[in-house]
Amino acid sequence: MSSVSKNVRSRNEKFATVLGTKITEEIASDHNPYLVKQVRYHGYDQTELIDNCEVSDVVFLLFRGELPNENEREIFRRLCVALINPGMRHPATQASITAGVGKTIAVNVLPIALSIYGGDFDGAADVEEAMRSFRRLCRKTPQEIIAAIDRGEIENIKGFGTLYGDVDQYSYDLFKNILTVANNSKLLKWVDELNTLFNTKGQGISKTGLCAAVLAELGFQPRQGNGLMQLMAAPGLLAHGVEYANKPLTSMLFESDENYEINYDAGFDHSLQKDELDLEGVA
Amino acid sequence: MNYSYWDDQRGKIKSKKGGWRVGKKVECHGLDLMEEVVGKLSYMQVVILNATGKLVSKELAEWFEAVHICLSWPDPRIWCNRIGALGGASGASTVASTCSGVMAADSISYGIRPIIQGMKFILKAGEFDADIEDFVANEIKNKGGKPHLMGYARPVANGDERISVLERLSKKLGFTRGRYLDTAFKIESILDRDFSESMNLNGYVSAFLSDQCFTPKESYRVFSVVLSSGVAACSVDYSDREKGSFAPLRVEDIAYSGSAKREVIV
Repeated sequence: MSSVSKNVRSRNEKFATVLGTKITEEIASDHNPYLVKQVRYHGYDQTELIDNCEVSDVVFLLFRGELPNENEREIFRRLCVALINPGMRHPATQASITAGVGKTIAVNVLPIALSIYGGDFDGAADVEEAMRSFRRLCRKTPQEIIAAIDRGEIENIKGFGTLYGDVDQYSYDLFKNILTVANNSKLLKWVDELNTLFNTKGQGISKTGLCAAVLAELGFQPRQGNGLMQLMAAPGLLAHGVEYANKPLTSMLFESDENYEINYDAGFDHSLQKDELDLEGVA
Repeated sequence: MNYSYWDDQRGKIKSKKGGWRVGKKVECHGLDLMEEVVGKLSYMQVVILNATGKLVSKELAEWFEAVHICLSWPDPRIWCNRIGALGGASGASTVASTCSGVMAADSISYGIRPIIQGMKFILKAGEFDADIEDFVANEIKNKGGKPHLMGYARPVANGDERISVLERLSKKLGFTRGRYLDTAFKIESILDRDFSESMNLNGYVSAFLSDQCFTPKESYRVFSVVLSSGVAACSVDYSDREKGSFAPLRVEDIAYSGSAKREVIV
């Protein structure tokens, strides 16, 4: 025993010896206990789902535990298409094409793009928090919310704000599209009214807010929100990355030296300044 | 026009860090990377410089390196290392496996991110030096009576072998115990007396770096890949074996508790 380890004692906590799930049930094959002969998701045989369901239906099932009804199906389908491609200019897509043109091994391209899409700039980072806010605050009227924000009693709500300095009108257009098939949704109407009031303050709903509002309306858990938004954006992110995989390196952006400024004035904070450092004496 | 800021960045790079002047030099925070850094500064000095803009002494860089070593355990039961091992056993590349394990360590409870809360905690505690008993009592009350203070009460085991090692190294490197480490050990004494709990590595590192005037954000940035070596070790350990060799599960090893079999109604 190492002398430094002698005072370290195990807590003898009981960790799981098997894993548990309510999502996937596998039936083992007869000849190999590691292979399956049948798979069910929340009770539905996978082959039946293949025969009868759209991809978005099964995504809904995996997270919610039930297949969507007709209205839920249409709302969720629209959300999946609305968020399917963040567009070429989005930082996550730029990361994807940079990986693609950089000949990054193919299986790394999507994880790279999704990691960057996990940021809070027109990305997935704040869906969970926005969903929690919507669920908590929707008991108040939009007018009461804005008044409380003005009084500093609550901070600005995630899911509303600006993009490149302005209201992201396109996000609202996508939201309105989904609203046309969600006429009975009190929550989405509340978000719509709140958006109108935010507009008077120069802010509006973002794609994060759009995703959060629709997922909350459909009964998804806030903890599922960030990852679901990433999942929905994955096809577009990957498509652009792969589009660039066969292009020469010179097809990526590479700013010229004339357009490359170095300015140390902001953020240069040596605790040991260059002239104090004995560079020769450092091994 | 509300988008002028972005127009000003468009088609340009405005670096605060440095860059490559092709055919001339590579600049890194005002230093010539090839002429003034290679062979003269340690790699860890450059890591800290790039992450924070601070050019620290080789002694402090050596201390940072020791923390990296303290978190380089090649044990795949540790959750981020487990991901590395699963990647290796799945035939995922060592880079993908290692990066995945590092990303897993970007956790609000364990790994890298708690350094932020750990430092915020000790910076706050440092303001209560004379009333540290009251401060700790109040913090424990806010945690429902449990001693789950950030930087204390490590999971899996009680006690932390890394602290005495780092203390020994700190003395060897010439560091003296500062205000925040003093506070951290006072808190440990209280927790040891009342709960038989002790400081963990996060608590120690948080206090030491607060004494060194590092901010929580700077520390998080320096430690962004602090666990990578242990993850990589676990990945390569399993990457040359039969595929699926790490933690294989039979169908019967999964306890299903969901809906019973049902039919899709079309």
